[in-house]
Amino acid sequence: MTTRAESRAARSTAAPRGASWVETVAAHLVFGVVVLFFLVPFLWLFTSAFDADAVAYIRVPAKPTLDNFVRIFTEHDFGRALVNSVFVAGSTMVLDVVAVSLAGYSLSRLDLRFKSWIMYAVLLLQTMPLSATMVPIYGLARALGLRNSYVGLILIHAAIELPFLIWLMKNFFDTSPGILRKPRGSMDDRSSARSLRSSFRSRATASASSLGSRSWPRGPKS
Amino acid sequence: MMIILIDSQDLKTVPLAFYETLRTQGGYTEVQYGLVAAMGVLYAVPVMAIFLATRRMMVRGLVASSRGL
Repeated sequence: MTTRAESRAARSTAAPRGASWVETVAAHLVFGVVVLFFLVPFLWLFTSAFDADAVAYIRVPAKPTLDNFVRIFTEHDFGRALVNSVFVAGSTMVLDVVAVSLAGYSLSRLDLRFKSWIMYAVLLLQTMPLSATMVPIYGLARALGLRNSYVGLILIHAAIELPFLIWLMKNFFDTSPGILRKPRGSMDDRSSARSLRSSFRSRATASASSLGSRSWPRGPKS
Repeated sequence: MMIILIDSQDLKTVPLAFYETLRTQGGYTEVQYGLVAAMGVLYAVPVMAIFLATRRMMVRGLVASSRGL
């Protein structure tokens, strides 16, 4: 036990010692460029939000003002939009977490006949471009009377995220340890339901919270 | 997706509010960057709050699902 810990410690200290200062400088340069690349859009967001007549490039506002914030609440009713968005995103998240946990568990633990076919079909859905689905979704929503209702919006949002999350959750259940796995043949409905419940409690909550973070509607496109 | 499904003012969500800031004058569309940026800042607030609150669980979940803890 101690030898293992020692060897691990030796290995972890060996790596930095081997790096020359050239490598260190190069690594910092590369990381710096990457950080800048991700930071600049947010920088623009913050400088422009306080700029009375904002432009499409970064500049320090001549006279910092809260005018923009006042205007979006008074002229565009932003508070209501934000509450609506939180509601839609929250419902989508709850729906997705429940559906994906069930789907991932059964695809991981049950012996289904066409399991790989199902998994590839799910993967194929993920490759479908969103813009290609817009017209059929609109037609469907109109036919079902789901326009201007959150039910339609939430269902569609949940469905868009499903394929990726099913793969994520299936892999999660594939790699969780054996306490949830019964010997073959003893997987009757009761034990399967019980182990599903215990898996919810003990393990899936952590994974589910990271799933939930994906459901926030991202940008005007969605 | 919001754009094609929701067009009532009461039901609008943030992406629709983004579109409202576009101002069309005589076939020429102008983006009011200040409003867009202000909305963007506030739009990020709930996500940040949830992330900070569940940060530990989230990291644990990602680590667990990748190495099979």
